[in-house]
Amino acid sequence: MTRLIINAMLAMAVALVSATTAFAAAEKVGAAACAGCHADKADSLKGTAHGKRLEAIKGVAPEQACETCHGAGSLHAEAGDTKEIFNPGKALGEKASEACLNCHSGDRTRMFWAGSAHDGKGESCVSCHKVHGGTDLLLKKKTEVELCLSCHKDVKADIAKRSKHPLRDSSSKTGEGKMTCSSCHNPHGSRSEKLIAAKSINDKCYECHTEKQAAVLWEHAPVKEDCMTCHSPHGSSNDKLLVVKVPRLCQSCHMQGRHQSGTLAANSAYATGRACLGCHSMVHGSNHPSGAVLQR
Amino acid sequence: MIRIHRMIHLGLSLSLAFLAASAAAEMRVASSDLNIGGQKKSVAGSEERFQEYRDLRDGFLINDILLRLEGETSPYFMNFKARNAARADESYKVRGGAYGKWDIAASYDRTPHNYYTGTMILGNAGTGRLTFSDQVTRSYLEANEQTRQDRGSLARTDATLEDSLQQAVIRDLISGADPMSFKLQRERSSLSLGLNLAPEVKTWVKVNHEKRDGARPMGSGTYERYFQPFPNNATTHFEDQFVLTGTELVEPIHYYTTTLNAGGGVYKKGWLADVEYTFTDFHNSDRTLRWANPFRTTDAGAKSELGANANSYDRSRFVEGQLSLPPSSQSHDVVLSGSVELPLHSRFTGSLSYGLINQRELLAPYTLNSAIAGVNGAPANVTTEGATPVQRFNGEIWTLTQSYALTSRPIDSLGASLKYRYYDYKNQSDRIAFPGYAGFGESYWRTTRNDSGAPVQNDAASYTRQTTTLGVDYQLAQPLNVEADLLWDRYDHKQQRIDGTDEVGAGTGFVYKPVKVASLKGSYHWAHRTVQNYKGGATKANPEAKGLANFNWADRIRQRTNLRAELTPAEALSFGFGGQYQDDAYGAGDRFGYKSQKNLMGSVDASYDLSENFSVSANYVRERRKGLIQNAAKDDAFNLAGALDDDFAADNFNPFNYWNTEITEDVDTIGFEATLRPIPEKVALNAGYEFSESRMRFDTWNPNAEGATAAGEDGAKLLNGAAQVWPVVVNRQHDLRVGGSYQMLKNLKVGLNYLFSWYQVNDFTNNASYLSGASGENTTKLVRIGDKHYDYTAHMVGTYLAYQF
Repeated sequence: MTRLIINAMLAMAVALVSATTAFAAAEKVGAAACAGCHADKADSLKGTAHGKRLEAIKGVAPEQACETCHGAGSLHAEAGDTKEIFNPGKALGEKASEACLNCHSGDRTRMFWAGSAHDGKGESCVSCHKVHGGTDLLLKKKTEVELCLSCHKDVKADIAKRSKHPLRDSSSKTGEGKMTCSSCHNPHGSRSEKLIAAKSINDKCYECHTEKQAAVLWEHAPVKEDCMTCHSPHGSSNDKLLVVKVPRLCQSCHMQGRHQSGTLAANSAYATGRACLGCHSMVHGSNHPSGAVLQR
Repeated sequence: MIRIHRMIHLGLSLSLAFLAASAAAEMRVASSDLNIGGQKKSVAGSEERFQEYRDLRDGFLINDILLRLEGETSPYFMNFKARNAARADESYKVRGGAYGKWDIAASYDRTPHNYYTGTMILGNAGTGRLTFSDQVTRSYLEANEQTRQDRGSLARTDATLEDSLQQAVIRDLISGADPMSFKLQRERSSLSLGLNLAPEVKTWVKVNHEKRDGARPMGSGTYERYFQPFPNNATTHFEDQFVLTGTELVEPIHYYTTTLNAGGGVYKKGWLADVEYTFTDFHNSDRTLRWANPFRTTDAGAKSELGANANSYDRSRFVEGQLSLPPSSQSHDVVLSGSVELPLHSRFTGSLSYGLINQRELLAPYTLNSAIAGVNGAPANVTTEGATPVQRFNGEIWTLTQSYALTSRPIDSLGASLKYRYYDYKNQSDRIAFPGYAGFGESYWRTTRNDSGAPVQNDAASYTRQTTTLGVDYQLAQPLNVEADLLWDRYDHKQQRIDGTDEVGAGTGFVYKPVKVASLKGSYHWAHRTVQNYKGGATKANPEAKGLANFNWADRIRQRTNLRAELTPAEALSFGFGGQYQDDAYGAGDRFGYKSQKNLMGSVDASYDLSENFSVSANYVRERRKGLIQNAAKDDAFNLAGALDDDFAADNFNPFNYWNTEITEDVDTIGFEATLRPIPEKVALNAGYEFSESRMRFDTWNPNAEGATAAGEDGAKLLNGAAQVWPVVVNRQHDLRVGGSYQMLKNLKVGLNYLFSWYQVNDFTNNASYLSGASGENTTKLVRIGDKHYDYTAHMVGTYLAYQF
């Protein structure tokens, strides 16, 4: 087994050196030469951030634009062989991202890209971005939400439910579109779980729901521990993004008293309306001296 | 309004400054759009639901304005974007600067949140003091109060004369009150400056100010105990029939949040490091909410059946109630982050953050009900601010967050990552021993907590969470990539009813791409969370039932499977099939609580993207979520030791009152999109349809019903432990959008859009404004303010003109 691994590693090393040597032999030919065959690609780049700002930001002259990402192209230009040129769109995983990260790794938003959920699943920059064309952010879809939902079908179903955050139908003029996926997540990696762009899930929620951040006199333990104990942030068939309909949600943890431990008829005042929250309205915590059971 | 003007002035000033600069910098218009139009809508039903987070109004509209200026030879740029100008969901953003050197941006955004229309019998909604000015009616309601003494042993299901009188008065009040729309408006303004001191040295400062303004309904009430009408147990238990008393309120929302964020960093290819500071100031203009009790003109205390002072009956007898609203607070957060490349294609990234959140809000008085002052051990000054042991609560939370990741890909085919996260939430708030508190609708002074009998003292719960993951992926063969990962997740709690939890897990996955046109991805994860020292129930430390474990502190075995197949038979044609299954089993050995959750999701999608002139896509998602909760109706102290499946002796839960609920939710979601350009670059047509339907069933049964019946009971010992039938809750939505556009000139396009939206909720809990005492578990004294009926049918036709100049 050890020998097999060593042989495999040697073979890979040889392959890597061969590949490097092959590309090293190529020389740059300039964008004009590329455009000779790939006029459509050259045109599609012109209107993009890369086409317009590469020189201003990175000091890359337009003439060098193509080979900055695709590598020196003389061998490819001579032979027309696609194997002689690097195409991030056809590469896999980290290899595909390498060309992009040459310029874009120096940014705090991509600091946690390596080993992130997307990187770890073999996704790369070109999984979501279309360098030749695309939108402002070179996205493959019209909007960010549309792009994310093209893979995350469960979330697509969630945001169509009864309660949700305002990110439905963002591509339409009649849509809500006040939030996007990146309002909460950083698809390029984060220091937190679930690609949350904050130090924890709760800290992300507090950015908009700041009133729930501070310590209060009488706490409700799950509130400060994890908002998602009770809420489903992408959407829910219950009001207020609740994971389970009240009063059953409350009854899954509370049965110390009599009034909260009944099966409750469908017309019960404890089941209808706000159910438990009809009296325990300060469910996120109370700062009132008589608020021990979160009523005040 | 002043803020709006400020922002507009700021935006205009910036625009003018950039326009002036543009002349000097030889800037030109890179692109520009103006989209204006008109629309007409027709909404039958809940306009608030249709417009929940948007403002689709009739008439002439400025939809979008976009202006981009860029230097011909210079690096200067300026972008201006406006969307939905002069509407409740408007937004403006202006940003300019020199690429790679500096940029300045200002923005203003409004988001509405519309709830529903309701009717309220209290006045001054939206302020910190809700009033009831009709003193004659109030006196009448008080004179006709239905007391426990009046009711005697009459079952709650039988309405008394007082019930009928009070119901009639409240119904009259509601029918005479004007409906009002409950809504919230969020306005956010921001200003930011980014400055690159050198190509790899960046600094930034941002200021955000957010105002939330509006009113939203909230609950307020307490419970009363009445005679239990269930025929079998009148002799063993007869006072667990509860009703509610109270009035739904309107919480005033006048929140202001200001955030200052500044930082800087060095970002080199091989390493990067930065530091960032964030200060947040949250201010709530309303410290408390007071409200008039429409049923009382004089303060009184709770009474016993015989009329003496006691906690059992006749609650909520205050003239004016008061609750505390979320307190104003401040927070500070400093983050240090860095990343460095290492040999063997490896990278180490770390982040360290310190945070402090504090609030020192004045405490409200215990109650405004003067009748309980000096009674049952209550201080004489319970209605006075400052009577509490401390005047201000010192709420202080410190957080320490660390996150580290070491990743490596020594060879193309092998990758590994080791991650560690640490989150310490330390609550350093005051722990205050109170002499008691006003309970039972502020009508009785309690010297111990009614849920546990423990002394009245707050807890300052803290926790630390540590998470470690190790992942490895390896390309086993050209078409097959496999991965494996390990998880360890630990919580340590302080001042909770649990010491901690430990979760260990393992997972594996694969990506199989045998041919260019097909791929299959799959994964399976298993994790087991164990619990350390969960304090048993029915104690002062844990007043919950014996055998109940709160579900996020319960033992849990989680299994999760994902599968996704993609086929791309042609470049333009793709199909996807996906499936997810999650099975959570909670609380092994625990009798009560959340017991299981099973989620199953399947999806299929297809798209045909022939060209810019024709594309079509469709998707279907089917979900089933099934959860099981086990509970029991609590009774007076008696138990059938050794009987049925009851292993817990001498508690208050008779096995004949056990009940289980299984909640099954089925959700279907369908989406369809199509774009057709029959005359390329001239005529475009598009259509989109979305459908979502969820059906939620609640099956509640008594697992020992047969035993109870055999023992001479009627399926349960208590009415509250008997099986119940709840109607199926259905949410259904259709959204159809069709549109077309015609490119009249190179720069001018006209278009027409139509939207049909239909939404229906069948939910038995969305009941009428005032709940009368028609049957068991109902009430004569709970005044509600809205129907929460969300149904609507909406049509909207709009036309627009888009001009690029």
